[in-house]
Amino acid sequence: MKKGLKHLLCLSLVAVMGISSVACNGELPEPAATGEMTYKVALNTQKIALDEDISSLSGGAIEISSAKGEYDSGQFIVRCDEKVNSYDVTVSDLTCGDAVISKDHIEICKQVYTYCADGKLFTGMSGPGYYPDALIPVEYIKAEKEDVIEKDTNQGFWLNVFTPEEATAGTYTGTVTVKFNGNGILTVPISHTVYDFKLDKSENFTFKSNFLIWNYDGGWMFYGELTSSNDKYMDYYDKLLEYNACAYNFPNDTPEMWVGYVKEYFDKVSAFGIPYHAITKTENDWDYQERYMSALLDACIEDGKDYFSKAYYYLDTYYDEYSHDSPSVSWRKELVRPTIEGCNDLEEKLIQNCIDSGKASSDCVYFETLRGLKHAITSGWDEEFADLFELCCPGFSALHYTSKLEEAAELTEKKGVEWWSYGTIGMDAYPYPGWEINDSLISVRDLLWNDYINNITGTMYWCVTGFCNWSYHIPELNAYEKLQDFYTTASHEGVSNGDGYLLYPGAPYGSDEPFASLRLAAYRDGVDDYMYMTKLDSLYGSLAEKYETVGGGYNFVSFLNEQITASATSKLNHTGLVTARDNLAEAIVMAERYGLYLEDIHTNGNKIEYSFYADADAAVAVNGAVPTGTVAGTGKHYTGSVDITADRTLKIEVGDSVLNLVTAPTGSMITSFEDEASLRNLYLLNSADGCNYVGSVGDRTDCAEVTLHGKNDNDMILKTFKPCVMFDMTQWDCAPDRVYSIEFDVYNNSSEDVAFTVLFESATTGKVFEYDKLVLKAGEWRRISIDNLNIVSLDSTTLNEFTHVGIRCGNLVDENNRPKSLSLYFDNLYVRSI
Amino acid sequence: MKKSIMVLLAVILCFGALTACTNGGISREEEKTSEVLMGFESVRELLTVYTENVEELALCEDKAIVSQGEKAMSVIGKKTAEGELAANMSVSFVPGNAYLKKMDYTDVGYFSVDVYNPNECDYEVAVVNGGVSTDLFVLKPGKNFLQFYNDRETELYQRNGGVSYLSLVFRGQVGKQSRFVVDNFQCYYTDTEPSTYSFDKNKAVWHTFEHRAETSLLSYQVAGSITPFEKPQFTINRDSRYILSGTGSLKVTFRAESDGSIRCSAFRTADNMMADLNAYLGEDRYYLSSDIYNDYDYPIECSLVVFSNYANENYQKKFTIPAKSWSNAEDSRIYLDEMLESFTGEGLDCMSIAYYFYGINGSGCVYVDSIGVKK
Repeated sequence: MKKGLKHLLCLSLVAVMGISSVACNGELPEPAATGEMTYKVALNTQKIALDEDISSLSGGAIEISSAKGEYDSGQFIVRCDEKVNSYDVTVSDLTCGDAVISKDHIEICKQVYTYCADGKLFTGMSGPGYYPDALIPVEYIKAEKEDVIEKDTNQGFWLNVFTPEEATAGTYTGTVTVKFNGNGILTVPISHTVYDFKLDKSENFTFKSNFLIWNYDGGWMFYGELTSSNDKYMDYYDKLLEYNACAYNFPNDTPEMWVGYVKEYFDKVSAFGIPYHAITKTENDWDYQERYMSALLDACIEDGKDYFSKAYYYLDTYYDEYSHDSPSVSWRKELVRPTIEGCNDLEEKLIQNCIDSGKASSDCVYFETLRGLKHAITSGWDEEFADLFELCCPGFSALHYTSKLEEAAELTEKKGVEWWSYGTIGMDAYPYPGWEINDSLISVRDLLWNDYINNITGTMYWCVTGFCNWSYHIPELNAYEKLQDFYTTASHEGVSNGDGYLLYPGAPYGSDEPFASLRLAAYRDGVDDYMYMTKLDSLYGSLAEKYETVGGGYNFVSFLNEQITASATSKLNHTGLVTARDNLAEAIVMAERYGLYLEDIHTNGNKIEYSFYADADAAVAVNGAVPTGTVAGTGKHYTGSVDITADRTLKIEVGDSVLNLVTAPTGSMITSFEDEASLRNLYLLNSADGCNYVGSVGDRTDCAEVTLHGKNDNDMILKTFKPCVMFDMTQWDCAPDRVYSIEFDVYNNSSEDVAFTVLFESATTGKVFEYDKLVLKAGEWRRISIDNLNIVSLDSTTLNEFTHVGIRCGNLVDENNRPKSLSLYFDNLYVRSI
Repeated sequence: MKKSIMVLLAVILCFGALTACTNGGISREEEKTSEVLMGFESVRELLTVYTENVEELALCEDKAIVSQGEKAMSVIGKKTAEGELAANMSVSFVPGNAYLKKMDYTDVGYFSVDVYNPNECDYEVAVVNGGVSTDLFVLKPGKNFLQFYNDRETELYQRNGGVSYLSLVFRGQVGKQSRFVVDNFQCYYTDTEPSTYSFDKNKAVWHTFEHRAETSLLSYQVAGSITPFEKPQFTINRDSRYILSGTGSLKVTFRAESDGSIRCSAFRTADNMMADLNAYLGEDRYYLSSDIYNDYDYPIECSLVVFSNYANENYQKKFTIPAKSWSNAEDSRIYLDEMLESFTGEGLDCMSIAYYFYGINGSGCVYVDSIGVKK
């Protein structure tokens, strides 16, 4: 009886507790069910949104691969059919036989989702929604009790794995364990391939960068931190460096402080900036700058080290974005010349002072470097400053059109101009690769591949700590409105989501260090890719000498890049990029191990033609057959060709290493315009004369001739009239989303170069997609190639709307706006499809 | 014994469960007359604070200093070299975030904030309410309680849609790194409706200075930026010795630096808030009238400047005001016909009147009454 009463009372107590907890919030308490958790893995080039359907992703192991001394990353996404009220994520050591990579080298982060509205500038890959960006280590998430996952919702986790330099090459395995809701357990396998070469950052970190941390109103701009001290600045600097990015400034309260940082960090960075102080927006404090540069010159002489070799100027107050920043265009442009010339004068003054004081003689090697310091100008080429510009940093979009890239290459060759890309709002907008949160991670990664191919040696990003609403400045507080939540609210939301920051503050989670973003993680991987390329280039340079030939890694990287690139636009060839990177790594291993130097690989019709060198005693096979080599220096040279196979691979075996390269698919000639009937392939817009079949042009026979005319009926027509020559894609036997490449030849039969846009158009909906811009030189043939259409960032439905592809020029009028004509010839329309 | 404890617990919990649900029926007025707007209890709350010239914010857990809750906000200014004047340091609270959700302050009569001054000397602090009003306080060493009026009825308040931000600006001192602890930012509710004030520029005398809200229509007149400590202070005077008509006049207090110099000794009326002076042009000689009292114990010079909307033109009149006296009535008159004569174009299109004072050395004040048109 007593026992029964006690039980009754206990039950009453429990019931009352239940009432008291339910009554006030009107909700039932959370069920105690564990639920079933499942996972999928994604490549580290993919960004998986909160509500994205992940059923097609792999359920296998998290695949990670890296060189020794490199960070690499992987990710997995979990879902649970019950709400997860708490979880923990742990990882095991990774093992490969007896070799171990300690779990201490692995960081597991929760991907935090940010809401991104449709951007005015960047429309996003998949429309508005919640996209992951901030990477918060799980221990901080748990401490803040944010270890919650809503029912049937994606939650991504990101793994940063550092492979020690002394690690043994091989494939390591391990597991990630997710414990959730008390008893639930999910195990995810990891497979980590360690390549048999070392990535030495002091040697290979050649890609320069300027990721700005603003010095705003007298202090470092850290809205999400409780302090803006120099120590905090260096926390951010170190985090950037961990992600292969360099900020412009070192703390510079005094010249001694600044020089101290330069000395400490010199071997770790790819570039650093010269400090300056603006007295006003138009007046530089030359004495201030002299003190700092003089102190560094003294340090060079004292230490016998050329510190200026990694330095550059970015005196943004005076010349930043002078060419497009409309409110400041008039006065900033006026300051370009005096600013650069002022720096030149200061350099000469420093040198003279140094000689006069007896610190160094006039032939001091550091003087040459000092005189060679470049100004990073955030604009394209400007003929007005042809005598001054040495380092141009135009927006991403400007460096993705063929015409701009060709101009840049020409300026590099003729004037030695260096090029960096520049990311900022409005200059990296869709469809170009960019930094927005709702862009795919592969965008950032692609940038580095394109940068290598196009000889772009660095990048700038305008602000990495702007945790604010850039659209709303509070003048009375001289501040921008802080974000409502630093992790889930995007700056520039609805314009250019997440623009202005790539790191996240640590203070809200009690961390001294800031946190990285997915975007920055992708950048790190991209710079690592770039380092692979420069390492291969260096190896191939040495091997070319050994084989008594010339060359480097450019041709081979170009071949790899052909499989993943698409001019001008973001592209989504995730597996293609990962495969290209694997091949790059294997090529490095084979170069070091067997002296393999892949000189040239290209497709020619239905053949793959190759030329490579290897050690004389190395066993070699191409697609299973042993080729005959000829003696070249101390090795052997192999040349030949093979048919393109169904799986499009070229298998090169050297010793016990294998390189499986993917080549372009075969194609078919749509027409070589050999008769009148072939003209039906052409579709002309705004061209009065139609087209003709012509027997020969120069040394070519059988072409189509098109004559385009300008028009000037009225002012509106003058501005909007754009003649086009298009090919009718509806007559081809493959849909646009299956097109791998479209190639054709064009001859400009005039005395002037003419700029053209390569575009797709839908005759039914009027939709237009501008693919590229290029110049047809007067009196020359040019082969136009539209590569990898199937991987541009347009979905199949959109691609398949297009009915025509071709070229379009501006209105053809002379200097007096009188209409004129342009004659073009077309030949050899060739299409490859997958 | 155990049984009785169980029963007691059950009863207590039942009671608790029932009473906890009744809060929804209590009106705010019955429930509270004040509310803590910010308690500075977490790092995340501190991160909503805007700062200028602040080296570091931190949570203070010293029970001897914390005046509300468990924690307060420690504010440390930028380091200052010996002999160098520290920059003024400010912390600002902007409504509209997770920790300061309240946006409508029309039901608030006063605010208060506790500031602990750990320094051994007095410090000046300005409380700036969204550009609507500025209140100056002296922080004594130790705890200070600052209470300030919510200028709900001012034109600026209405124009800005309420409190847009609230700043504490700490005046820097030579060679000292500013350090303070801020806690318990509160508002005090009032049931009284804000008194209405409507500016009527069509009256002959458009500034009678009967209402506090009129002060928000005046602005300081100085080239370059100026701190709250250097601005003239505008208040409504009720001391009849300094009133010529009605029950109020404008008191303009000038604040001097330690060397007696005054950064700003001028102010002006709001732009385009003057009567249409063309209606007063004619045979009768109307004039712009301003009665000005010099409270300094020496004569000062006053320059009245009327700005025209046309071509940056202005009309000036200079005169001297004797010590401790009202200005001579004739001296301070600006006749409309004379002004019309000096301006280009047809008619008068005046923007505002500025009052410049010269020969002032040291803090002090002037009074102004009845700005309008008379004959």
